Amino acid sequence: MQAAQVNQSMINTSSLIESALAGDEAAFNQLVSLWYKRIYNYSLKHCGDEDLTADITQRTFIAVYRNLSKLKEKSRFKPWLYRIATNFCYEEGRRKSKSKTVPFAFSSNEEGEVTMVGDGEAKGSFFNPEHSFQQQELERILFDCLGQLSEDQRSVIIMKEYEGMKFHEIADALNASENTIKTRLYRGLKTLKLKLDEKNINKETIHYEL
Amino acid sequence: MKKILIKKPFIMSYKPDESTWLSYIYDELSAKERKEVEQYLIENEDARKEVEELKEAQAVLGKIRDREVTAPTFSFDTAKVISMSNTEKWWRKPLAVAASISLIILTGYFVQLKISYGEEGFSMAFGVQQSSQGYSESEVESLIQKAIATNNETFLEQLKSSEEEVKKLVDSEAKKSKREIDSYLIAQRNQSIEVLRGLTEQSELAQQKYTDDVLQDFAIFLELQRQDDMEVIQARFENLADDTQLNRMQTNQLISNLYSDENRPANQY
Repeated sequence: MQAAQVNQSMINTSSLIESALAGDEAAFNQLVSLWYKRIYNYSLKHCGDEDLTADITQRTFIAVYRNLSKLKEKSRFKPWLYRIATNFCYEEGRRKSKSKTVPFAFSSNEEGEVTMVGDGEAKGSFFNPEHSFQQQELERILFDCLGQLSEDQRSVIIMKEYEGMKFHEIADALNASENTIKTRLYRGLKTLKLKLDEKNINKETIHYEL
Repeated sequence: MKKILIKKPFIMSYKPDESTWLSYIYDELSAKERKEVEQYLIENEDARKEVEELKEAQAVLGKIRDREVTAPTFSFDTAKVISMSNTEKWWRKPLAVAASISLIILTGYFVQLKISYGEEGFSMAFGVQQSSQGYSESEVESLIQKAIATNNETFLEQLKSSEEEVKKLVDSEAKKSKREIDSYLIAQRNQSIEVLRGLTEQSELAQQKYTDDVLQDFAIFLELQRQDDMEVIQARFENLADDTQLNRMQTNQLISNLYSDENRPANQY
């Protein structure tokens, strides 16, 4: 379903870019609506915070609008779009790590209750009432594990696993060789497996949880 | 198994690299390469474990579900998202810079910073320069008071102008947002009308179909009823005919009885 959606997007994207460049506002908005959900979910897995993600996604599309004329080959729109989003994610990640003072802190809420906030734990805005508690808990742990990877490894894993991108597309988006991308993905997956083992998340426990 | 190994000794030396493993788990190998990798996996337990680990990490990752989001509308005029978030951010930086500069100037003014560079070299001094006659304590105090008052005034003015600026910005943003909300509401209303119309049309069609079905069923029912009635009438007619036949026979019987009585010899009584 997801892959089909992406393919459909590819068919329309080129003609929509042409129209948007010619000043067709509706075409640009259609282009946005084709890719908004993908970029949103891509960024969310990068930063794990829905408010921040909404901000990154909007800034990505503003940057797309401003720089669309600089895109030489229309067929390279997808890697180009992901490159912009990735840069914003990295920027936010650095800002976040700068403002973070204590990695494992106690914080008090408005009522004065003291709660423990783990490093990289998802915030309140992460809550999604549509999902069961177990699903949310699992997602929180997965976001946490993704957050512990290096930026490069995280980008490659999200692009490959969730965005279904080809290795050459990822290489294009991250401005690296295909071999580098594969190495990052391999090491990223290995590291992730170790992190998941630490938290006792594996095939069996998932089935038990869900 | 041994036979195969002897026949194809290259399998022993073949060892897939990281890139091949990845292509294997993402199903991006050619049929031939795939076969080679699978053969290698059969013979190599460590490799099998390695691939299993990668696949497991993949499987667990697959548990994150996509969030459903609606794309906002972008406008070319402003090249900005029509949204309320983060609109206040752009003016904060210049304001912060201005505040920092005025703070430095104020501090310099308060501490009477003096920097000079002459034949004696570079010198930096704080505080009021001592004149020959000097100032009395009260004079100094009044000077300080005056300085504070002037600074307060300037600061208040700055604050006021900043406030006005912020207010203006907020107003314009609010107006813009209101416009956007209005247009969004109109769009929503139109959409709702469209949906409602569609629903009404569908419901009309369904109703018509239902009515047709009911009428058809009723017609069939009437036809069946008519047939039943006809059968009943037919049966009644048949009964009537039977009765008539019986009556006729009885009448004939009676007549013949009467007739025979009439012709009976009188002496029999």
